[in-house]
Amino acid sequence: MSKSLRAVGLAITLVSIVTFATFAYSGAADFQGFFSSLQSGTGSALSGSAVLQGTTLLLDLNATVTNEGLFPLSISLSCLATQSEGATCTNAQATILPGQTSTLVFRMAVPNGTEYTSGAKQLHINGSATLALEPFASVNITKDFGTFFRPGGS
Amino acid sequence: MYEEEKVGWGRRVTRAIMFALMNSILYIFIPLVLLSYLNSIAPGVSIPLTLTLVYAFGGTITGLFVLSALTEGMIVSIPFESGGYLATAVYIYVAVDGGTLALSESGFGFVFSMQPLIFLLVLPPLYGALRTPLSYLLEYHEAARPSPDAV
Repeated sequence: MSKSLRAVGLAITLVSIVTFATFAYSGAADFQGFFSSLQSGTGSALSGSAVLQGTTLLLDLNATVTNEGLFPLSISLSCLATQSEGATCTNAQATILPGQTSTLVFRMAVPNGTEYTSGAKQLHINGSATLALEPFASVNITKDFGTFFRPGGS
Repeated sequence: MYEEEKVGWGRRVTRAIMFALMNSILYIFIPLVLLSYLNSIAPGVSIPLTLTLVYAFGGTITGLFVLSALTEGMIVSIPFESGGYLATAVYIYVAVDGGTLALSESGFGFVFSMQPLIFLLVLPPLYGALRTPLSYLLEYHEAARPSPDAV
C-alpha cells in the first residue's frame, strides 16, 4: 500500500514536470516565432495604419500570429469603454490552435482626429492586451495605446 | 513498531547532509540568485519574494528535512517530514503571491496570472505531507491491520 502511495506521488511529480516543460517550450516557441517574423521583415506580423476619414482618425493595427507552441494561444486587444477623448475601439480577440495562423484586426476611431495628426495634441487611448497560453497562464498588459501613434506616421 | 526499524546512524547522517545540501541549494541559493537578478533588471519594483522570506522558509524547510533524516525510522520523523513538505508548499505559494504577479509603473500595468501552474507546483509537496503519516498508519499502525474476525 505504501508503494502505491509512493507511485502516486511519483506520477504527480512527473505530470508537473511534463506540464512545466511543455509550457516553457510553448511559451518560448510562440515568443521566438512572433519576434523572428517581426525581425525578418518578410511577413506582415505587425502592421498599422492611420487614416483620416472626415474629422475622424481611424487607427488600424493588424497582427498576424502563428501559434508555434503546443497549447492554444489566446490573444485579445481591447480598450476601456469610456475614453477621455471619446475614442471608440473594435476589440480584437482570437484563440489560435497549435500550428495555426490567425490575423487580428484592432481598430480605434478617434473624433476630432485633425488635432492629433497635426501634432497639436497627444493622443491617449487606455487599452489592454492579453496573451494567454490556455489554460495555464496569461499576461495582461495595460498601456496607453495612443503613445504608439506619431503624427505624420502611423 | 515504527521505532524498531533498523536504521543506522551512518545512513541517517549521510541522508541529513544530502538533505541539507539539496534543500539549501533549492530553497535558499537558487531563490537568492533569482532575487538578485530580478532586483538588477527591475530595481524598485515590489516583488513577493524577499530576503526574509527566502531565509525564513529556506531555513525552516532545510531544518525540518534534516531533522526528519536524523530521526529516520523513529515515529518523530513523521511530523518533521510532513512539516517540511507543508512549509515547502506554503513557501512556493507565498513566493509567487498565489500565482498572480502584478507590476505597475506610470501608464503601464503588467499582470501575470499562472494559478494552474502554481497548483501543479504545490500539489507534490502537499501530497507528500499527506503521504508520510498515511504510509506510517498503513504499514505500522494496528488500526490499519485487518481484523482477525474478518478472516
